[in-house]
Amino acid sequence: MATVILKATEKCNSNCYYCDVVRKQETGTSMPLDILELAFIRFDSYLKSYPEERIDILWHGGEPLLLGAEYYRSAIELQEQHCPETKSRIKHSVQTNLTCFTEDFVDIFRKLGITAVGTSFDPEPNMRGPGRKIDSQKYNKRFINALSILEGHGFGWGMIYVVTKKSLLRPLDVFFFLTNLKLTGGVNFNPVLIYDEERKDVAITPAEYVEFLGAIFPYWWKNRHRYPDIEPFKSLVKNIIDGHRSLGCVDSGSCTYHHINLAPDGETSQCGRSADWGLLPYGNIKDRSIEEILGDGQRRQLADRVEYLRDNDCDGCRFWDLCHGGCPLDAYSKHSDFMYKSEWCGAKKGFIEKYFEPITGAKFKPREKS
Amino acid sequence: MNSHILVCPGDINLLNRLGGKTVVIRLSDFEDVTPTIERAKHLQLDIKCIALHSDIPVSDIPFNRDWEGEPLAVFAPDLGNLRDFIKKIALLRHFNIRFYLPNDSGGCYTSHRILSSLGFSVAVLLNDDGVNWDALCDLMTYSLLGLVRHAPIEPFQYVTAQYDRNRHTDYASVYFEDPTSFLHLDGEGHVALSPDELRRGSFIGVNVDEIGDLSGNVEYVKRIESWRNFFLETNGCAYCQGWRVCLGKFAQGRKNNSSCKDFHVELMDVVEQYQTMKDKNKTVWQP
Repeated sequence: MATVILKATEKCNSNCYYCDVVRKQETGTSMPLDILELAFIRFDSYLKSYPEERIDILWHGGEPLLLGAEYYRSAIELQEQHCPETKSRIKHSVQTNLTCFTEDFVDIFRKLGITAVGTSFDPEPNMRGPGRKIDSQKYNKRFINALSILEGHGFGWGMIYVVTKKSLLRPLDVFFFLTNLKLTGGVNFNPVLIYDEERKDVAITPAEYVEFLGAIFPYWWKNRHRYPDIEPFKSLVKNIIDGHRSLGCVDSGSCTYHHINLAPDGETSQCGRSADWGLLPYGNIKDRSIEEILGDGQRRQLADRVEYLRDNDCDGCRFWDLCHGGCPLDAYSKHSDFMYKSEWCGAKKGFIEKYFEPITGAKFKPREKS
Repeated sequence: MNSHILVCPGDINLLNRLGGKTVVIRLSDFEDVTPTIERAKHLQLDIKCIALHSDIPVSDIPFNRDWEGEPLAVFAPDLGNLRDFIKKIALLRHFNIRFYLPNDSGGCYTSHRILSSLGFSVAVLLNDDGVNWDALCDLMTYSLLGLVRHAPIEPFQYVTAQYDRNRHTDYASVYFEDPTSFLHLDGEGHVALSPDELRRGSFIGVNVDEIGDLSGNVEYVKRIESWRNFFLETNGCAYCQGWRVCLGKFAQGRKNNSSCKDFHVELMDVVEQYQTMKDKNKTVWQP
């Protein structure tokens, strides 16, 4: 399965304080329809060559819904036109801040087969919102209104909450707020990633992230039937207690040959961050097929990294199966080199040892090293 | 107009206009109960209940044998003299009745416990500033976990029946105050979404027949979605652990660390415990 992060636009209507995407609100470009058309032609060709394969398209940005409903109607037409036999193996999802979501998108999402939407939210004032002053009131009103439309039409949704310095002041309050807003859960607590000095005031260390999760976990564990879908807790239970290996892209060590970031101008890369930082360029879809992009020789260094870390920096770490050295881009941000483990490995290890194992009574057993 | 239940006064002209509808008829004069029921039946109204608002204690209400079997919600200031009430029990046993009482002067909901233990359904009238949360918690525990036989106490029984961790549980229906189920009418037929809005003259329509499909009524939609506004505040009820069964009902009187939170959290815990117990078939050894 290939995952295409389709950066339909670099523009965003929000100026989130901690956004780790290179800020291009003013200058950002959007994907012209001829590039989008070429993308669908490439997808069709790839899927015809590999009848067992699927493509997951994640509409991303910037803010993808800024492009308006008409753009997505065109996308549906292009898929119909160029992928008549393979469209059943193309799955769409979207990551949006929802502030542009209106009734106009309801039918579009349905036609794209989208049943649930990925979003993000922060109740703290002036963290998410438009303009230099980060008008969170305006943002939040639009967001809450969009939820009303979304839920009214039966769509599911889940959200990322970015843990910042401000979150550390009241972890349980944040937890209750988010799980009151979304009763079934679908909340993912991710640490803020700050790469510049300018916004260090909201940055947190891996140890602080551990303490944030640790402040919530005892309550969550006791009441987990009430809040079933909270990450990273749910995944850890699945992996450590239930024995099912299921990891996201950051921890799986297997993003190497599956991910493609497709920029508005058709340039491809490994993921959004590698594209922003000018790393791992796999060429333009004007020149290359999906097969060529997925098989690009530069990907080898990511696979080599996993093998290297397993036998060196991470040798003997009993959490290897849960982490695989973490995200290579995190490692790069610290060392300007992929061949290191991510500093967030320490957060995972620290949380499991300090909170997860003592509270649950479960002990993670690594598989035999292969 | 969807399937809303209309809460209305017993005004004859109004009832004449409500043929076939499901109604809660508000009365305050005991003399009106029997003729109103007869009239409503004649008009083929579906009577959800007669909401009888009494300003005298339950023990002094002149219950009438004609009310037997009719659904009654009796709102009274207190239970009154227990000895006088006991004399009425034989008659009331035949009634389809629920008593709505506020906290009693001792502050311990003793009247509710007495009525429940005597087999009468009872509901606690809650208001922002007069709730003894600790005592209410005791009453709730008695209601849901007490092993001695007793009648349901609301809103606890309602929450138990409705509770689903994937949804909000709004017990406003116990008090006919959930706008997704109840609309409130004055004598002229003006329609409001709550008793309070009716008193204030804040109507969503001037005639119940003109209301039509409420999903297109802006005021109605705004109101049923109004719970989301709590999430626009930087503090307050949206941050509360008890939100999912409270929905900010006590926001006005809520101060930091208000025990309304503790009560609603305990309510959720007990309800979940109750549901778990119900699922387990307890068996006792046999000789």
